Amino acid sequence: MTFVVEVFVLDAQMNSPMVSSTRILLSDSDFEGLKAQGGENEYLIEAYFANAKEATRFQNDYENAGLPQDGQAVTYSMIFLLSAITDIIMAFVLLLVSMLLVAVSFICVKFTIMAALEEEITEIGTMKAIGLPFKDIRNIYLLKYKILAITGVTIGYIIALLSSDLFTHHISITFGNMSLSVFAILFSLIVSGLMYLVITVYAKRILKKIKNLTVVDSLVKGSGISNKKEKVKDGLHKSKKLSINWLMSLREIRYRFKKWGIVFSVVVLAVLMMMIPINLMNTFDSPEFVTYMGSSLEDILIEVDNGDTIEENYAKVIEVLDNDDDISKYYTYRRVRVQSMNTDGELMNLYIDTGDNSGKELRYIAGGAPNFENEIAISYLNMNEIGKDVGDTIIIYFEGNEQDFVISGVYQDVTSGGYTAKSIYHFSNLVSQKYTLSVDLLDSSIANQKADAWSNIIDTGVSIDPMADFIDQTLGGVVRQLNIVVGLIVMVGALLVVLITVLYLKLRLVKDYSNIAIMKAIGFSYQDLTKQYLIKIGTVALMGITLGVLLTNLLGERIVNAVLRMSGLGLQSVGLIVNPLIQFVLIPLMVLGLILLTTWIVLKTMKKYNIIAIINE
Amino acid sequence: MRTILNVENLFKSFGKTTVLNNINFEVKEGDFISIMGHSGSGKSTLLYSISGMDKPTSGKVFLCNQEISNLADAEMSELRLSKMGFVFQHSYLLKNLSIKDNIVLPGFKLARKSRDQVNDHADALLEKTGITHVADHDIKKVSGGQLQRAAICRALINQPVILFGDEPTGALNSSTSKEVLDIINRINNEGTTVILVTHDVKVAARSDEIIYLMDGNIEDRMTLGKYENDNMRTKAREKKLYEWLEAKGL
Repeated sequence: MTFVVEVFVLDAQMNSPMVSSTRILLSDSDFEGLKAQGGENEYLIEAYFANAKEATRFQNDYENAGLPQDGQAVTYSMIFLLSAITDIIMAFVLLLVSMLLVAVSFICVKFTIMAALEEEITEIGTMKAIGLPFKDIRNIYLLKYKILAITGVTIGYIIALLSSDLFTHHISITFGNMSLSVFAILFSLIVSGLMYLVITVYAKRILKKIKNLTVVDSLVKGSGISNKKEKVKDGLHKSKKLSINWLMSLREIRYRFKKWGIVFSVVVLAVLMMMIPINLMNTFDSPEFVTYMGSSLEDILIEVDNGDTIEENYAKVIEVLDNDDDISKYYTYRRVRVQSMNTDGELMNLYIDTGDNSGKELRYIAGGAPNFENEIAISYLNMNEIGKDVGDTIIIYFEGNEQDFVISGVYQDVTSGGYTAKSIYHFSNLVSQKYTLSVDLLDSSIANQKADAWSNIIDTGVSIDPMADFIDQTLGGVVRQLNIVVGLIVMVGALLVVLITVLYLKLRLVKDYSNIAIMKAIGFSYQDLTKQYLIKIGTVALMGITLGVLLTNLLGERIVNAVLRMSGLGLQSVGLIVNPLIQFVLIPLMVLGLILLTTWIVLKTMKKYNIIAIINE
Repeated sequence: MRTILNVENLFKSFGKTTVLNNINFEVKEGDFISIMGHSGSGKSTLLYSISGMDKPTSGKVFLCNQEISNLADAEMSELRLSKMGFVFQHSYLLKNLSIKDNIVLPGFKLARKSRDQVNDHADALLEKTGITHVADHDIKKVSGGQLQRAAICRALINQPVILFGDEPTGALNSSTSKEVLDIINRINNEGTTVILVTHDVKVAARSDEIIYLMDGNIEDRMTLGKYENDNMRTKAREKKLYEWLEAKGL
């Protein structure tokens, strides 16, 4: 029978080689036609529990009852793991970026208001001089910011409602569509209202500066809104070599760094905002990541699945591998089912991958691979279930026997629902549940070719995947989604840096107006002044970038691991894999370049300054 | 004496309003000229136009035989740094620098001399103007007179050929004003050409010549000759000038 592929359906339950089963949806008539041609029937038994934890107990009971187990048991944790990992990672990245954006937007609000007040300081002084009370003056500005805040919050709320599909697209196509509940709408309304309140209170606090401004300060002395006394550091004349533009700029950064705090903080936040998701993406994209997933890193992964023909299939695979000269080495792991005791004192099924090399190529959270037959390494989720740690002894029950094993190490595993163990003890008499073979070729580049060739020789019931395909099928979705989001984040980060640079420089130029005029009058050219601002902002940006990169390395992993632990994916600790070219060259250069370019453009407004008007003021 | 400044057919308009109307005059090396006139007569505009702070609408200004009215920003800055000194009504020192740092700044920028030489020159100027004791002070912690002296030191640090002043004693009390004027006269006697804008008879009486502006035109000129630090003669110069100005209704 031939079929035409109409559409691909995302299958939350069986969409990965980890589940080792693929479903094809047919029409009733096609199915009847196919059934008439013979073949075996396979039944899918689905059980729903009020409490998802009951699934493990059900699985144990089913397996122990000796009922048919030709297929793969797909538990909720597996479905959750395989389908939700993308959304969990995306939600985390978006949450992290949102938090940083909120921090930056408050900085923006502060500087926008400050710039407005600086520009209108004479008007404020005049209003004070004619006797307007502080509250009346403040309310003129506050009303403006209240209107802006309510407009912004409303537009943001509408955009959020309209764009929620964009962010929930993946989750709805895998888990099904869920319309927005009244609670969700109400909750987002409350959050929006809170946002408005917080902005208003914050604006009020900043506007309080008007209270302390005196008529003399604003109209006579011409001092700024933030009238803090600044100490003058004598010593410029002691410098022997540094060019005057560098000298003046570096002295300002050294003695008046606080003035540049805004640029510094925003650069740090922007670098963090961009680098953590980039590193996360690199990590998921890296071949090494599979070692965090309970799998070793090799060229080809062969899985011989459970079924009546498992031993025959395995023998055939071994025969093919033994006769292939392109193989440098391969390891065999046999999965058996035994029992152990969980923290509640109940017997639980434990799947152990046995083999001489078992657990050798994994990354361990604690301890290491089993080296002796009485040792066992267990997955992190099993460690929680059993309630034992490295060095403890656990009793394994199999075929009516009890045997003590010492826990040699704990690793993180996202395969088989995260509940696995590794041992070099053979459990010879036990039925094999699965065989996994990791194959290394002499020439890794022919992995695809080899996998195809072996697939043609070996029958069904065996899946042969080049590691790259395995990774792509398990993590490809996450990486692709992350790629899009990281692109967006980098754009947002870049825009943020530009926006803050413009806002800050506008404020700075207003404050430096008279200094610029003085410097011009004594013989500094616009080129000199531009150079000075570029040196100042460039130095501050470089310091911010350096701290941002340092913090990314120090905190990035901790933040990511904290979230991964919370997500229940079975991942406890992941070392972020850094691409040095991106982290140490491209992103720093982009941020620095953008800041310098923006500064250069903004400073062109200096040429419009009327020095004489400033001097005559 | 060589010509330091030559102004030819200078016009300056703001929109349809003509502020300077065909100004022509010449300043010789070592001259001390005061520009006087009513408010709005164009005296400050003339000072800014001839000093390159502002571009004239038409006409030419030559400083040491170099046409300056259409110089690019960098060339004008270089010229301002090397040949001109400015003293304004307010000292306009940079707030984030000490007195001495303010003074050496143009010297370091021009870099015609070594930093040590600039520092030595600054020390000499500080001593000459009597403010050595406040050299390392914050500019907010010294008096108006000391600030104005510091501004003069800054204007002289690169040994300019010409010193421009816009009401340099306008913000000072009479005794401080006298001290500042004494310094300016001393500088002039040492060879620096000085052009001041003032409405104060006591200041103008210190100059060799007065240019009187009326509605953007040079209406009259008066020569007083070189100033000598003699009380009687100073009084006589002030009286003569006062009567001259009175006749013009100032």
